[in-house]
Amino acid sequence: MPYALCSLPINLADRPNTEKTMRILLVEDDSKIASFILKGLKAEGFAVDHAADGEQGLDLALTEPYAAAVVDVMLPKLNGLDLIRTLRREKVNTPVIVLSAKGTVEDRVKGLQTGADDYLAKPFAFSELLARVQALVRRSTHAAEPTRLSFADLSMNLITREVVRAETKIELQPLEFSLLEYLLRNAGRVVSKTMIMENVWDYNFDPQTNVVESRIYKLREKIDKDAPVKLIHTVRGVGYVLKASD
Amino acid sequence: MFLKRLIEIRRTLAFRLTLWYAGIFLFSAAVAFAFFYYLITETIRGRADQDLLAEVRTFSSVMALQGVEAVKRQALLESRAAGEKKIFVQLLYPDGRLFSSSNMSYFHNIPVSIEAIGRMLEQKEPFFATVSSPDHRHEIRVVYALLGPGLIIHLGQSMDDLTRFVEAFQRIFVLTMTGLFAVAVAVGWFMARRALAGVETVTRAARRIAADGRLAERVPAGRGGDEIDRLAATFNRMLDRIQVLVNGIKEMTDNIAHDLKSPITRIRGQAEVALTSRGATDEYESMAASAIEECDRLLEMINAMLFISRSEAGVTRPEFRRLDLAAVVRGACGLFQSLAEDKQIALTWEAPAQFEISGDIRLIQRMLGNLLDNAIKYTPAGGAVSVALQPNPDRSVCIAVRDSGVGISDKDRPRIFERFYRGDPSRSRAGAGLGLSFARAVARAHGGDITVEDGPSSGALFRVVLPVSDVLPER
Repeated sequence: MPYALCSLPINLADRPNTEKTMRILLVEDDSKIASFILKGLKAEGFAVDHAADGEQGLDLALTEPYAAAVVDVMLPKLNGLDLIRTLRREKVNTPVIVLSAKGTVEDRVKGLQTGADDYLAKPFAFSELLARVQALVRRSTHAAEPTRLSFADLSMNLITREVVRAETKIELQPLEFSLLEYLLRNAGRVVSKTMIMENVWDYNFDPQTNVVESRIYKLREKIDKDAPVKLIHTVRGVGYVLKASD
Repeated sequence: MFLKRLIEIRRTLAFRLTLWYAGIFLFSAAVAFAFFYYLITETIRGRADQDLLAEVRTFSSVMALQGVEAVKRQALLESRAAGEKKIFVQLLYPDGRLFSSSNMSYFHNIPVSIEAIGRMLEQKEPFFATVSSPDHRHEIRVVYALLGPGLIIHLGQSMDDLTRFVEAFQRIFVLTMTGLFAVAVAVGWFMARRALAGVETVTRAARRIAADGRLAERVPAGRGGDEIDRLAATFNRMLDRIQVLVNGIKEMTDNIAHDLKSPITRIRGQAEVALTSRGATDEYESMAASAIEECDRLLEMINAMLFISRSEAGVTRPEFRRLDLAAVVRGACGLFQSLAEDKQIALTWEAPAQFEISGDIRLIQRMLGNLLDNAIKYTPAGGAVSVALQPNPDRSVCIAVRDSGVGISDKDRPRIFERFYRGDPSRSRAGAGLGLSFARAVARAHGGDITVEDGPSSGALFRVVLPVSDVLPER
């Protein structure tokens, strides 16, 4: 359920309390960055509260139960890392993703030591942020690990490693299997080439190489070639998405 | 102004050196003086004792030959002859009572020491003592001696020689020390300045370079090989390194400016046209997609450049962990397999089952990716790319990437690892030309290096040599 951009103080009585809707806190002072994150997260069905400075963000995080928080480091009034430190001292265990313009190893380590659960360096792909928010939310709600993944007429057994499309068994190479598994886990969401390389193959290549394209092409040959409805779609400039429509 | 200058001088090394020099000089002089003083006063005292003993001997012989009365006369005569302020003679009973005395008006407060008499009688030797009293300017040397049974002589002599000598000595001492101090300061200052003149030259040159930023200038360095020459040479070597780094940064900023401008021009142009032409939604979509692609490329280029220049400047600290290089090589080749198949290139690899080194896995993956990408890109269809991981006997490991492409011309070979160097200038893709210099930066950050040579039949052969440490860190 989408909300208008919140301005504080928030009247909680106005908020419909549906269990399905996950509430996310965004603490970010750059209004343009905040606006695209808000838009993107709401489009994914999250309810998002936005605080433009550290103190406001801390107040919200201490009083409201959020499924996850996205916190920038450089914030007016209260530094993002201090915010997280205070939260953890107050025993608030909301999962937090830190956003930072600095991407060095030391910054990452510092962020995680403070009590953050994940770290994302600016500039980042929105799809990457979304994937991480969803991973944290899933972790915090203790979703059970599935043994089967399915989408449309495609299904995958994670134990027997069997892949079936429209009742036809498909033979996949191990690299192709893990690629399809990742696409299925993120069905309906766009995943970037970088996300595929790092999360599927645990490899760090220059995304300009055509390694991912080549694998996707081969996977399509096996999954989509003979099917009337194509499942693997390219989103130009962003990545790939598993969806049933065009 | 003068005070400020004085404070400045006080802080200089030359000042401190001078002070030390003068201090040590004065100390040595004072020790020498003290030694002389001791020697001379002892000599004077010894001579006085000799005189007193001679007197005692005279009185003994008078006593032996002529008796007590003659001794009394002799005492008066002697004291008068020498002067009543100069000596006195007293004849005493063994219990210290006075038997006879010369004129003691000048020496009236010189006491008779019963203890001294006792000591003399015990040792059966003349007993000497030095007495000083506030009434007398000079010390008085006295001797007690046994003249005959029941008669003791107490002789005293004023030590005016000694006092005169000490006074003269003190005058000479003060005068000489003042003179010596002046000389020591002058000599010390001169020597310190002379020794430190080279430092001053280096300082002045450094100040000039810092003020004007003329990094091409150098400190004049002598060939003597002394400390100052070594300092100047070291300083110049440091300037060489700074100059290389600064030039590198300058070159890089030029290249960045060039490589940033083209994609920004494209993004801006497409966005502008899309806005002004009010096209269909799919036109906007295509514009957004192309903007994302361009941005990703730019970002990739910026990150690669930052890594390269940071590692060249020696400020990167890769995260060294224990990693299985064989597995990394196999993984990379496996991933590139499909890309090679697409181009009908045979990609083969060989590596031991396991080979552990200490390194940053993300950097090594990226390096291998760049080398494989490069090899596949420059190998025509139907060609072959092979990768081999071979441990060397000298505690290093070699990753050889061989392709069957056109190879690298002699003209390009020395420059191929330079940033933005493109063998083929027509290629305009942003970030191209960074792959090999990134690979070299990674190899060097691991303490190794990368080289290129012609393959055995055709194509190029890249070799990355990485050191293998004896102690592997935690995984």
